[in-house]
Amino acid sequence: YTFDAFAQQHANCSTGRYDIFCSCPCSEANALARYAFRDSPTHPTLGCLTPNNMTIGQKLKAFWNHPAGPKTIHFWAPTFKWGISLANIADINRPADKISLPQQCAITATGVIWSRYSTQITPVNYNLLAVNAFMALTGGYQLFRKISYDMAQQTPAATA
Amino acid sequence: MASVSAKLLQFWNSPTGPKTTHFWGPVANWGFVLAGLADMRKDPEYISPNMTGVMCVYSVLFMRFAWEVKPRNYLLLACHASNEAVQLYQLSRWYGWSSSQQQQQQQAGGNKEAAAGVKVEEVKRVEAAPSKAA
Repeated sequence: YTFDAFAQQHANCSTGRYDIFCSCPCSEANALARYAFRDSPTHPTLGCLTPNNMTIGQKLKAFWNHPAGPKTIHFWAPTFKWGISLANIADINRPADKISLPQQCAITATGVIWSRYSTQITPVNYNLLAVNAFMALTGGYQLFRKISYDMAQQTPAATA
Repeated sequence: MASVSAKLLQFWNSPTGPKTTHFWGPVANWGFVLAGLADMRKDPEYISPNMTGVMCVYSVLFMRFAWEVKPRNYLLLACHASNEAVQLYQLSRWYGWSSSQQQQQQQAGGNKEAAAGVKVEEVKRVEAAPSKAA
């Protein structure tokens, strides 16, 4: 029972693809692919598998080998963007007079704009949305601290 | 030879042009560069080493990202290259200020110790003198 025979029998599978990202509605195709063709020499991919019937190991392998996975910059660059929010949290008790107003404005504005754009791209990128929403929150909090400190500084001078 | 209007039209309709998020996202990121430039003349005590260090790594990663992404995003690349330069400069300014602060503290600590040592000697002398006098 070769892969070609399998392909012939399941030629009406909705996508016609037999790679890891296909969504073959035929459960028999999925079952056969998982057990019969997983290590097939003619098809290095895992056959017609969907996230519903993949094992944890297969999911991890799929993630590891993904074109936007942890072996690529497409993963690490957006992941590191969390560092900006973490740096703001580390600075949460930094004295308010030492906060840089332009920098926090830039961080908050970037967070807001990118949160919006990550919902407008195809596909919607919830990871990017989360990062930027958090950036906007932490930046906004630092801005609030800085501006309230500045205003508190100004009022005694105004009355004096 | 493409005319100016043809080039403008090409830019307007480009896959990383002003009709797409591939353009306006990087424009938002130029805010970091402008903020860094605004902070360049201020006293180094206003520089946050946490944020500036993170920005340096962040811009390196995103320069690589802008190069590898399809379509290749030169605007994002330029933005993060300049941000990297600005943040590295700010970090070096902060580091220079911070080490001079530490030196000052060490000197002040040394002065305090010297002053305390002098006082202890004086006390000893004063204690010794009355006993001599007595």
